[in-house]
This record gives sequence, C-alpha cells and structure tokens, in this order.
Amino acid sequence: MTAVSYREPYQFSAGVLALLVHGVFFAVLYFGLSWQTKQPMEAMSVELWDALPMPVGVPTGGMSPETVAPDAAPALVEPPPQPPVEMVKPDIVVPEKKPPKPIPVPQKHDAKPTHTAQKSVESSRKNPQSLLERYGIEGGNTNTTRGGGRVGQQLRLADAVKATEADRLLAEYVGKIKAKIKRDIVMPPDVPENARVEFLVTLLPDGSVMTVRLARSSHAGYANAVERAIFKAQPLPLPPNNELFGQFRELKLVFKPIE
Amino acid sequence: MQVTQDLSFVHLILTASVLVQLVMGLLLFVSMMSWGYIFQKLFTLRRELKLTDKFEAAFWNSPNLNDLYKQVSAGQVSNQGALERIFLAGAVEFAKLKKQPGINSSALMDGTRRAMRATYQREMDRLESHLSFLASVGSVSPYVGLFGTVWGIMNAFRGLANVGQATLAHVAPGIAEALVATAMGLFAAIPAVVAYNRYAYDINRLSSRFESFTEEFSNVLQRQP
Repeated sequence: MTAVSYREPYQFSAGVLALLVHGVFFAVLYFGLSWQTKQPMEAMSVELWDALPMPVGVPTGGMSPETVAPDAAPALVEPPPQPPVEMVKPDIVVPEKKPPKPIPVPQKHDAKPTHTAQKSVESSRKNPQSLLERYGIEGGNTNTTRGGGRVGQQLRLADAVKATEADRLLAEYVGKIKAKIKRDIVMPPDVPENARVEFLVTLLPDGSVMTVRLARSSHAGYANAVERAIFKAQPLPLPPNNELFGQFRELKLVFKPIE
Repeated sequence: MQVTQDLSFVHLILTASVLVQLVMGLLLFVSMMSWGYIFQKLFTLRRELKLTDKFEAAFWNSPNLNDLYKQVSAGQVSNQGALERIFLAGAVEFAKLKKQPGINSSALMDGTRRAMRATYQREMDRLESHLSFLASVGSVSPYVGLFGTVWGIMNAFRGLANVGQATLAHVAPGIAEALVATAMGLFAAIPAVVAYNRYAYDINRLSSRFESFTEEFSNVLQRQP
C-alpha cells in the first residue's frame, strides 16, 4: 500500500471552535463576574482606648491653643472623638479653626510651651471630673451648656460650622436614648419634682453600655433608679452611620422626674 | 508592586507582573492548542467510529469479497476509514502473494497478516497522534498556572511590606491577578484531562475492533480457494 501523505482533517473547524470556546470563556470571566471597578471605601480604622482621650486645644490653665506645641507629647494627645478627617493631627487644625481666646495669654506660658502643655495634660488627668464634663459637652449634648461654659461653646461653634446635619442627628438620637431609658425607670417613692441627676455614659459601638458614672445627683434614690434603667435599656439606639459614633462614645445624660 | 484598586478583568491582566503575563500568555496558547486538538480528535474519532460501523456491516453482509474489494478501492482515499485501509492492505497483499507460483498457504497467510498489521499500526499511530499533548497539558498546565499564582502572590506580599498599615485592599489586587493564572491553567487542564481519558477509551475500543477484524479477515482469506 502506498504511503498516503496524511493531513489531519478538521483542522480549520477545530481551530474556529477552539477560538469560540476561549471567547466564551473570557466573556464569562468578563461579564459573568462583577469585577470591582470602583474604589473601595477607605479602610475602617479602629482606635483602641484604654483610657479616656486627652482633649486637645482645651487647656485648663487658661492657655491659648497656639501654645500647644506640635511636639507636646503627640502620643498622649489624641484628637477629640470627632469624625472630621483633617483633624487626625491635632497640631494642623488647631491654630486656624479655633477662634482666639478672649483671655490674654500670660507671657510666661509662651516661654516654655512644651512644659505647659504637658502640665495641662497632667492636670487634666488629675482632675477627671472636669475632663469628663468637657467631654460631655464636646459630645454636643443639647442640654449640657451649663457644665462646660465658654470652652464648650467654642467647640460647638466649630462643630456647627462643620456639621449641622450631624448635630441634628445627634440631638435626635440623644432624645431617643433618653426616651428609651426613661421607659425603664422605676420611679422610687417621694422623689421631689426638682430632682436632677447627671450621668456620664460610655457607649460601645453596638449600643451597649460600658460604664455609667454618676456625675451629679440631687437624690440618691432617683439616681439609683436611673442607673438601673440605663443598664436595662441596652442596647441604646445609635445612628446607623458609624462615623458619628465618636460623638456618642461619651454621653452626658441629664434626667429629671418631670420633663 | 504598585497597589491598585481597579479590579476590572482587563486591568488585572494588564497590570500583572511580566512573569505572570508570560505564564498567562503561555497558558492561553497551550489552551488554544489543546482545545483545537480536542475538537479535531472529536471529529476524527466520531468519523472513524461511523466508518468502522459502516464497513463492518458491509463486510459481513457482502456475499463476495471481490465485489467488496472493488467497491472499496474505487472509493476516494480520503473517504476511507482505518478499517477499510486495513482491509485493502490485506486484500492487495493476499492477491499479490497468491500470484506467486509455489507459495504455500502458511507463508501466504503470514504475509497477508503482516501487511494488515503494518497498516493497523500506522492507523493507530494516526489516531493516537496529539493525545500525548493533551495528557501533558492536563498534567502540567495546573502547575504552570500555580507557578504564576505563587509568583504573583509573592509580589503582592512584597508590595504589602512597603505599606505601614496592611489592609486586605493592599494584597487583594495582587492575589486576584495571580489567581487569574491559576484559573487559566485549570481551564486548559480540565478539558484536556477529560478529553484525554475519553479519547484513550475510544481509541482502545477501536483498536480492539481492528484487531479482531484482522483475525476474522485472515480466517476468511484462509478459506479462499
């Protein structure tokens, strides 16, 4: 038998079909999967706090914000729990944003700013009550104007410029929180109508209560009842937007028997 | 490595490192070849099975071998199946040897059988061509793809070392682009393995049919006066 020069049949159709299969494969890859083409959200960063944050630009010793030098213990000086991005470094924002203090700065403070800043931090540590009060105010609680005075007003001014919407939400949710707690208050007998208790509540992001501290009380029985109610009311309602949580971490809540 | 957030498919391939791109290109080429052979073998084997069935039926139904021989040899060579060629080789050799004076029956049958055997070997070789390629693709291309993936992931982690705060977003693009290489390797390998097993089975069956036909045809020829 003569050797026939052999040529594989079906070469053309096989090549076309192979191309087709690959076309289908890549089409499936391209259209079948929803490829992520948009920028992912900025990664959520979590701050771990084992102590209460040190306020910045709120010196206790009548010191102007300008005297807080950039190198004044930056590890200790955390930004206040407010969401804006530009406030990551406290020394960037403080000089421009804060309205100047009306109190003139004593000259000796300018001489060695680093020491004074550290001193202020230390003094604020030694005096947790005033610190907490400031925080309660910084949280923007609507009915705490009394405790903070001038400094709180300043901060709230800056806040109001930035986020009136956030303030509205804040007020709304503080109202919700108080309403929820009020439902759980078991009123003890003979509470005077003018009783007034203030609580400093530390919240976790899921709305559970970490600590409750009695800041001011005019009636012990009522204060106990409110404290029990705060724990009973967990989880407290929080805005769905996590960015606002910074303002809910420390809440100052004022309760009166009649409101 | 540049950390990128764009994860579209084209972008993934275009921003992959050179070696990963090379691996992907190689895999694409291999995959094209293997799919081409898969289809080619599919058509060839299907045609061969059909022709074998047809010829076996014709062989057992034909009353006269001479008529069958004329009919088969009149047909076009390209239309002949492997079994027809084996039959032709045996018949031609038998006729040639028969004409030689003084040849004994055993030499006649041995020569015929050798001729058929040779054609059978040639046909089997033709049927089995490229099967080893499919086997190689099936066994090797996953590793090639894996190599590209490992390389890509190594790059992704090297890029991760340069950033202070490591998040998943820094490694995800690199890993995704690396995994495309594995996907392509598997895409080349899985069909190749399936096709190889299937075709090996088909060819095995065809081969046993050819062999039994050779024996039967020898018997028929031996009975010829």
